[in-house]
Amino acid sequence: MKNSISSGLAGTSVEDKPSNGQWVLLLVILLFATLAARIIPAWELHNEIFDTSTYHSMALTVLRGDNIYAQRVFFPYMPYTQFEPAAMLLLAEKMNWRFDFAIKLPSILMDCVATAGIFLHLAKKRKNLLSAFGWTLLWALNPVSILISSFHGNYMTVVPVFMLLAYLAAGKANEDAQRGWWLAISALMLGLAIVTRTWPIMVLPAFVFLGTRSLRESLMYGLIALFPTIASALPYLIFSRETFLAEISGYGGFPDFGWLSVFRTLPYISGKVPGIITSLFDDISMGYSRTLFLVSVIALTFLLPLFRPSSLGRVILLVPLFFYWIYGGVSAQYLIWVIPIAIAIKSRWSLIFTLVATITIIAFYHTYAPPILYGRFPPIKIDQNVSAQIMMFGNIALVAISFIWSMSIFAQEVIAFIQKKWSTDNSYLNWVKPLIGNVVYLSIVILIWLGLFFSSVSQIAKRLSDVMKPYGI
Amino acid sequence: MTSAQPNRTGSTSSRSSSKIFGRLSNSILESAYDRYVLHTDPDSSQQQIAKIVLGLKGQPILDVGAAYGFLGRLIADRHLEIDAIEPYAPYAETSRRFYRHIYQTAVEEAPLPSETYKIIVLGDVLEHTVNPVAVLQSLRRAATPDATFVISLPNISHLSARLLILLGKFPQMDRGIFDRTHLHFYTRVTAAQMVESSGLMVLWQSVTPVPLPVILNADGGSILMRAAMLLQKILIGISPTLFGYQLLMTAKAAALVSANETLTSDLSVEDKNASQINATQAEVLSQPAPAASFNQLAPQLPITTDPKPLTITENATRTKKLAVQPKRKIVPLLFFALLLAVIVPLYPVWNQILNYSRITTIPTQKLGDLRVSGPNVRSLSGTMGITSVSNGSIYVADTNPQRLVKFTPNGSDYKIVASAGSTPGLVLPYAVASDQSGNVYVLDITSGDVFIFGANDSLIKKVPLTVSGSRAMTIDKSGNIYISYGGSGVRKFTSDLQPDGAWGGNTPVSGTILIAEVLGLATIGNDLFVSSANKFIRVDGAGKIVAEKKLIGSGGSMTSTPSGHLLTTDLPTNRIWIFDRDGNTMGRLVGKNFEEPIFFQPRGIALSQDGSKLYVANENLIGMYEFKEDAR
Repeated sequence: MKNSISSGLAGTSVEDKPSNGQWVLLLVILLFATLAARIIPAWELHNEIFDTSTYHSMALTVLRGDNIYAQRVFFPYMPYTQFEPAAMLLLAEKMNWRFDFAIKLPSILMDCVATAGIFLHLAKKRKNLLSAFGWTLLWALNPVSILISSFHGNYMTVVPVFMLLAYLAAGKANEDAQRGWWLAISALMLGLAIVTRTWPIMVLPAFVFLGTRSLRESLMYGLIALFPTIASALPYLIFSRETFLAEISGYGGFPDFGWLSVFRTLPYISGKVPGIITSLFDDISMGYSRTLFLVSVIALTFLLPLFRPSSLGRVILLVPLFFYWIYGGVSAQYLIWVIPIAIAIKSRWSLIFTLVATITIIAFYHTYAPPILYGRFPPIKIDQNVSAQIMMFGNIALVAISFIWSMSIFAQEVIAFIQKKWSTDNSYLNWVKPLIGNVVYLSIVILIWLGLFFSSVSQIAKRLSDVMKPYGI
Repeated sequence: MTSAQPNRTGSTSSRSSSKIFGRLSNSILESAYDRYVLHTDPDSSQQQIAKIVLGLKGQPILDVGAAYGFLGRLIADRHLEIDAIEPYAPYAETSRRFYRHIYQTAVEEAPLPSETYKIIVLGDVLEHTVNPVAVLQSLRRAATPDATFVISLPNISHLSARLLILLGKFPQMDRGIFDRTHLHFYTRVTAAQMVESSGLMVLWQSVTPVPLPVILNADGGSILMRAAMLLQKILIGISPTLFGYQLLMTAKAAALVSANETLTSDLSVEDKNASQINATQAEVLSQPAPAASFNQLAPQLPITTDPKPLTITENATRTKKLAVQPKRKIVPLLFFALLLAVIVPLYPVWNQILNYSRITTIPTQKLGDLRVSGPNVRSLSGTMGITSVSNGSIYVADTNPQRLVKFTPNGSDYKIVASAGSTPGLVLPYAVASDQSGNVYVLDITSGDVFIFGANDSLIKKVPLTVSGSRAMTIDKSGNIYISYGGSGVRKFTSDLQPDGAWGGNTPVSGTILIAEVLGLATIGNDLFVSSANKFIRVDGAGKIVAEKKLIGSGGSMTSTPSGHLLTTDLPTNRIWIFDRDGNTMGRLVGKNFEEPIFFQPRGIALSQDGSKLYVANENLIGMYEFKEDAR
């Protein structure tokens, strides 16, 4: 602990650790910054609109004891999280808070958890405390996170935070004697991410492949990670299969961001493209891009044996990055997916991504959803033409960044593979067992997907039949 | 190595040589040695041991049981200080040129210098000794405090051994796991236990595949052999204990391993000792720790050229660190706390759907549709209110086009009774009700006026009973009329169309009770039942709310059944619910095979006078259904 005061925080080394007091003080500052930056706008804005309004409907439906999938409330998620809005509604009533404020609290709380997680991870050996502080501050005051959690009020922030915790626990498993327990914790965190918003199931193979070392580990990891989803979906599959499957498979996102958004914004700017054609183009493009994205993710899964276990953090980012530049249905809240882990691995891409995403999200809200930015009473005069242009160029930049970022990760791994830098710690003993586990999980995912697909087709056919029947068709 | 020169002992008698291999005769020893050959397969234990030794970068080295001097040959070009113990004279002589010194004696009797050797290799030796633990303990005295022991042993839990024992066989073979000179047999666990009982700590374990080219005397480079070896590697990947032929491990003195040592400091020590660190090694150091238990080294042994720095040291150091870390109870506790936090919310999730699934489903069957068709007649579109009158006729309010349509009980014929164009003042008919005399009351949502049609379908009168926005109306057996008052209440009128001031209150007008979002009204006896957006409300004959319940679904139009229950449409989710008078959900209607949904945006609902047929105003047609309340 020598020279801990005189040397300051920068460049501290093993022999030159800062005191616990400094460390705790920085953590408290970061937590306070995270909380303040989010609580204040959440409290000041009065905007029960868009997603927060939908959450209110969910809460009312659930509290009535209804089957949320039988209701026409938008809820294409696993049953597990249906009580979250309901709990927040009860809290709001109990505390006499506005619902739109209460519903943002879980996301804000999870943002604080992410702050603590990132800082503890980056400053774990009490080394480079200033650097850890700086990177964590990038999350604590991250405008994308603040916009999604406190302005928009979308619950999506929770998902990448659970993924971050899963990643940190997987890393801890490599350093700690209690590897099995840490892996179990990691799997549980990933399981919570999956049960909250299903899509993290696409990063499960990366965790299984690069985070585990034996067949038993990979099977246990997958089992624990899928447990919350299976356990909560099971009764609905038994008692309300049709409505459940129809609802969870019926949502494909909106082309608010990504390459499709560029085309979507054109009518705003030029005023020449009829909306109906744009809408039709949206539907067709989203369908094709969804297929392309799924194929890419499956291809990525099979390439995972090439990647280094030490690259787990970066490989996790590949799925959302692929999503950003391949898929057409990117919503504002999806842009938070990469940020926590990117910051935790100190990727400089997180800086440029945050900057561009912030500008684009603000332009989007300004153009399409002013109450999110300004509350119930947005300024009467909003120049949407300018914001639409910013949005268009912002989306072009986002797509380009996502593409280059993902390709750079990919290239690094492939180069490392070619140079066999990974050979000593990634020999066949390390990849054969997870490979089998991965194939099992991939098969499960494909089966679920096929089930959902055919279920959707039968639902659509049935609905069409109902509609056409009166006409004798 | 000048201060601890070992004593050169030269050759010893063959008698003493039996000690190292227990009480075996020289002839057996000779025949055993004859079978030991140099393995060229990079995955063989010999090659792997050589690779580990090179990776450890320590000297002097002691090769116990040198045989033909395989290790000495493999690392000869490194010019390392390497001594050997080899009790069998011919082989000791053969090997001599590869070693600095050869102790031709039993290991227990070898006059080894104390605290000298940095690396001690026991390649397939311990299983031949009478007391392997004692051998290790005696070797520890010759080892430096931080020396590394590299040990290989045959794996008795290999698949072939398991199968043979399963078949009741324990063969005495010339070589391999069941070599007749073996005195001990080890699994991965017992091998580690044996080593650790000598005061060493196992830092790293691995396995090697069966040396098929050697056993089969085949060309190791052939496609078949390469494929077989690859398959073995894959199988080893799946289960090392089942498919590993030899157990390979490194160990150090347990007392050396201090809990206070950190990974960083350990590595820095290794780094200082290393002559160079290239980018590869630096990267490995920056990566998460490799496998702490059953791991495998890279398959290729670079023995003739300067190899890439190996990572076994880092592996061992990391493993050591993991092995000595205290196992904190907080980690499993954290897991169980999180698991509990995950499991607890499952209760309401299951409870919710189980309760919902317990709601009785009443199967029903569609009997047909009531349609409007014909030349120059627009079909139904936007049907709202519906009622059944005493003669069995069905009256439907259609909002597009705006009209009142009358159907025969079986729906085979229809008549347009009134329309926006032909009936003065009728703008948007919404709710329909009938009294005991067969008169039909139509509520216009735009004006709030009520149009009364006689049994012969002629307009009797138009009365401004309520305000615009009212959308529900019902009539009780006594002819009292209950109409929603805009969107904020219900108002009662007597059969002579006068407000009933004794009912309800006087706010905002006389004979009114305040209820938000009234969607449906029905009466049973003197009681009025109201469905609002999310509530079921029972009002007594005095106009007081006596029961209020939250609806599971959404509220909608209502009608009463002959048995004194209530049916309510749930438009958002295409359902029709049945309640008792206190608002308890009794069930919902489903298809004859219990399928859902069978309605499509149900708005109005009516039962035939005998209660056997249900008429539901779906969005653009009237469905006629069989209704058997006791079918549930």
